[in-house]
Amino acid sequence: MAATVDTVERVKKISVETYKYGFETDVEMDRIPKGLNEDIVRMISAKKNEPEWLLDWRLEAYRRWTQMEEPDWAKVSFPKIDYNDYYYYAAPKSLADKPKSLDEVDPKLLDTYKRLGIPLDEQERLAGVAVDAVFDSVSVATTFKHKLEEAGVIFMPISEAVAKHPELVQKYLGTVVPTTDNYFAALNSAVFTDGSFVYVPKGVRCPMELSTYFRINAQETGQFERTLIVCDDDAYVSYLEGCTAPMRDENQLHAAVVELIVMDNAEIKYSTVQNWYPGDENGKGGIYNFVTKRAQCRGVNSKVSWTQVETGSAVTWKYPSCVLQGDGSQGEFYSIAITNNLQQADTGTKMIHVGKNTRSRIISKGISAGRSDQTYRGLVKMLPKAQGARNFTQCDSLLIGDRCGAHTVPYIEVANPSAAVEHEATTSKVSDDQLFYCRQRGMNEEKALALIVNGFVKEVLQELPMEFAVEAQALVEISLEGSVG
Amino acid sequence: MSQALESLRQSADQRFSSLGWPNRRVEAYKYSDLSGLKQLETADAIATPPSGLDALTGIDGLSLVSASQASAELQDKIGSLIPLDDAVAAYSTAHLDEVIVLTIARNTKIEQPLVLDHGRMATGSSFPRYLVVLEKGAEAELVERYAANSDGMTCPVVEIFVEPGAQLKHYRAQTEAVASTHLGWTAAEVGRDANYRHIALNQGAGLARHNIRVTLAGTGAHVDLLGLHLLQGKQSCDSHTYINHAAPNTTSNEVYKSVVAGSANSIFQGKIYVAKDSQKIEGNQMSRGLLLGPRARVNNKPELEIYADDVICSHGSTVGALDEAALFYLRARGIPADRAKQIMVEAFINDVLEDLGDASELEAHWQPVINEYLSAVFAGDQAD
Repeated sequence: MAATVDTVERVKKISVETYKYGFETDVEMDRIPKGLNEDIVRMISAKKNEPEWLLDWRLEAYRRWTQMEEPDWAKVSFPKIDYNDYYYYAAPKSLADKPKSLDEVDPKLLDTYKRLGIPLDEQERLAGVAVDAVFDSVSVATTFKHKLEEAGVIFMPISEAVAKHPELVQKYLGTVVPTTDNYFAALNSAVFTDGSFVYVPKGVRCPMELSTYFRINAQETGQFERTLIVCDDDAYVSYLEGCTAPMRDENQLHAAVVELIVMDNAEIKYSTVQNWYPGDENGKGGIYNFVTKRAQCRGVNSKVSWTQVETGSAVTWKYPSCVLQGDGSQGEFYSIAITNNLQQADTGTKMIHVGKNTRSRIISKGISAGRSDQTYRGLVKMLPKAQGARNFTQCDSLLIGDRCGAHTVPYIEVANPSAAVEHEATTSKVSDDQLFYCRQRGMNEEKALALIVNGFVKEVLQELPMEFAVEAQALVEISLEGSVG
Repeated sequence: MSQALESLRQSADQRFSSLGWPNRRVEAYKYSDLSGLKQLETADAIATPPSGLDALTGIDGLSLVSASQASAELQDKIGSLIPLDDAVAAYSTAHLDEVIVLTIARNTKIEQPLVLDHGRMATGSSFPRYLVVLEKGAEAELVERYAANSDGMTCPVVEIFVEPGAQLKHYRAQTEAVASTHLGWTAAEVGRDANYRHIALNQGAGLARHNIRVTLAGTGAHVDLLGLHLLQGKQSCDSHTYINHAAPNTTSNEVYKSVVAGSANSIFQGKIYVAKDSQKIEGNQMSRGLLLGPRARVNNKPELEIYADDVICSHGSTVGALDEAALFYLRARGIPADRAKQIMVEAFINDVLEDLGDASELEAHWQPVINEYLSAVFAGDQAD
């Protein structure tokens, strides 16, 4: 309920201020009424000038969604969501609503940026300050675009791709995560407003790491993104997602869908640092993060690697998966999940081995602190034809404080006698000896804890691209703030 | 039947009518579909008193009575350890008739194993039910054997109280004919500094499900759960275990091993639960599956649910075929392929049994079953 009220307040504030500053109808026009029905879906589609097929696709998804039930098997609890109480197409905030300089930004937020080691101009951009920051980010994006075009890589917002490359989008959209896959995927299919589209043509190694980082700042993407990445034969791309700064947004529903398609000998590396607003110390506010991410390794010897650092969100429901169809294809999942205060996370992965000699590796590190609850839920499935398939899974949980919970729920299904699956999981607390050792050398308790936890998650941090790893490391420290003493 | 038991029976009956046989959508039965059992529901319950009870009369310190003769305090314990929201528990309790109550007196050690032998010879359903209470400091060895040789259903329920300082070794062998369906429940409460060791052999029945629920209720309590699945043909066997560390300073150790030939399906679902404020816990679990048949399947779901921080809990789970390198080693020493495989499977099985020490039950009853299984599985195996 708080979520709804808050959204209402904020929207009110926007409209009032818009009025006050006498801004023209821009903002007004970009907002559509609250609630969810077929008209809203049509309206979103019309706003994006979408072709007929996409509208039909959305409507079909919407109709199926109305017949589905919200899943309740995850180990999370939150008040029932009233889906009619949300705006499904929110106007980009007008400049008037943004802080004009860093002086107007919450000093607590600035302190966080400082600790993350983000340079000043970047801080401005992250806080969404003033005009030039936006320009800045646009220009950066343009530079990239040029370079990417040279290589033949298509990287653009998905709504732009629908207009410019409809044949590609239509061919691949919804083929990995069908509209009817699950409740939140159906919802996303009906109302998605933005996201990225990446197509890496045959034999191309994407010259740089692609990131949604800039785009999100430039365009303030909505709560329902849809990402589609296609990596053709022998191609490679590394994709970074997320924002490493705490969001000021509160109480939003975030239901994204990410689809990855990998052809022969191609590889996608997908890294996420998720730090949505987790709510305050008393669990008020925060994002509901219900995400469906799936990769299909269609080609032989194709490879997908998911790396995620999950520190934010009030409630997380997320299982990046790999369907290993091509013979010799590989799936990897590296995850760090940190929950503090009253956060709840139910996250893990699915590795579905279809093809021969497919391999998968799962490393999951969960840290629970405060009164939070965290669950690793994973599936390793070897189908009858998965001759010689291999899996290794390791999931470790660390408990900080005696009021948190850590749970491990792996499903192991093997139907091929030549397949081999190994799974191990441990749960323990931070060793007193290690803490004592660090304290003895003059470290304060928080620093000592951060050091130990960083050691615990090192195996996963190593998988992150360099610039992300540094920020993620700092993020670990921030996320655990106030969990000791 | 006493009024209390009759009302327990009735509420279980109601519970089962609303639950019905679970299908795969019920999480606890994800891998064991019981919805096909409907036709057996109305089958007449047949009384099958265990053989060998006579041997138990006249043992010092052991009282063996039926529920109607037991004290009110003991009667209250019946049904207190199994949750009726489980369909199998509800179904068994709905057919509750005779309950045999075994009590081992305080500080008594009974040397002779207490054998409960069940061979169901006729088609139908049998519902053996026991309450076993080891009073403070008592020591005993309990042996359960299920060897029905006809089609039908066996639904035994055994509730066990191991009071403070007591020790119980519990051997449970299920070697029923493949025509039979076996739906069993074992529930135990282990008190302060008490020790409970459960060893299960699951070799029989076409469709088998064994629920085990152990509550470590007092500090210093310890449980060992050891299990074997030896499957072939189209058998499906599901062991569903739940260990609740309800008190601080409790420890558990669990090892389950499955050998799966033919197109059999082995299922292990094991949960370690650590309650809030149950600090200083150690819980370890290992489940291993060995796939021998081309269409053999293993479904494992090891689970940890932990609400305390000063714990060391772990689970491991592996599934795979025989190690090629080890096979090669044996063959290089002149051992034929089928014999080499058999040696490796024996080693895999013995890993569970070897630490049990001197147990006549294993020698006399389990080893022949294991040998028979191995020769059946490897009989048709040609050297390649």
